[in-house]
Amino acid sequence: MTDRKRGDPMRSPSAKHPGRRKLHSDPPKVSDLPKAPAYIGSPEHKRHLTSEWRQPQPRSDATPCPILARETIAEWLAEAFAKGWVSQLTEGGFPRYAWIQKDDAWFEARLTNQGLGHYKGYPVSINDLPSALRRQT
Amino acid sequence: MSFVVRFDWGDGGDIQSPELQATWGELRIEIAGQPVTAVQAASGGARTSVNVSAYPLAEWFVENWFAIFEFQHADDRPETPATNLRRAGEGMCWPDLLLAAEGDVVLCEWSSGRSTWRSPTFSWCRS
Repeated sequence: MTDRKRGDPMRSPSAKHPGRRKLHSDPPKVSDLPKAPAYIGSPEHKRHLTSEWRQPQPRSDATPCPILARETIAEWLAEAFAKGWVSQLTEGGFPRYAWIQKDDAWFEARLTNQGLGHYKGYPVSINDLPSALRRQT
Repeated sequence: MSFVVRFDWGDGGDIQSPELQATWGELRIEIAGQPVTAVQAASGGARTSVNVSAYPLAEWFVENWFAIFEFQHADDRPETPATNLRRAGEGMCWPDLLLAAEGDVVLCEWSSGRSTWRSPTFSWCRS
């Protein structure tokens, strides 16, 4: 066995990447964001026709969304922001991710338009959550 | 032993995130000639690649490059460590492929099963 931490060119840098899925330590209020975040969705997570996406992405292997009313998902997104369950990683002033639990299921919202604050969403496993959120479950 | 990542760019169609749309395609990972990305699609067809975006794959490699080469005792690893490709996330279909340092070598361990709810089923079960 080799100790890779001594004089090894593969040694990790002291400055670690903050990680994509780290819970925000000081989550912004919605009123502090450039615009109010909005759920728009994206066709790669659709297996059903919707008013927005008449052509679901047929070759996608992405996780399909449950069939839910758009208003319901928009409420979940607002709830995630109200709880402060958003990522430290931001783009265009918006957290890239937000998380919400409904019954036994967790969902992740992902920023899709950093100019407008649009998000899509999909179910995730508990392993995909920030560790701080996993500890709360 | 060979570790081959092949990505064929495809049409991202109407995908909303520009970075995900621009990097959409077919991912095939082969380890020692075995296609780790072999799946049984919900439609019943079998294939050796999955349709994903290369963007989260690149982010996952950047985030975990050094962690992959740092030894961590197997007992200390969480159920799905960050160096498991499933953690690339973004609601996409990634194989259950763990890369972890074991001394001078990197252990590659993968299993069959589903990545996410209703996603295609990875059909290889070998480690």
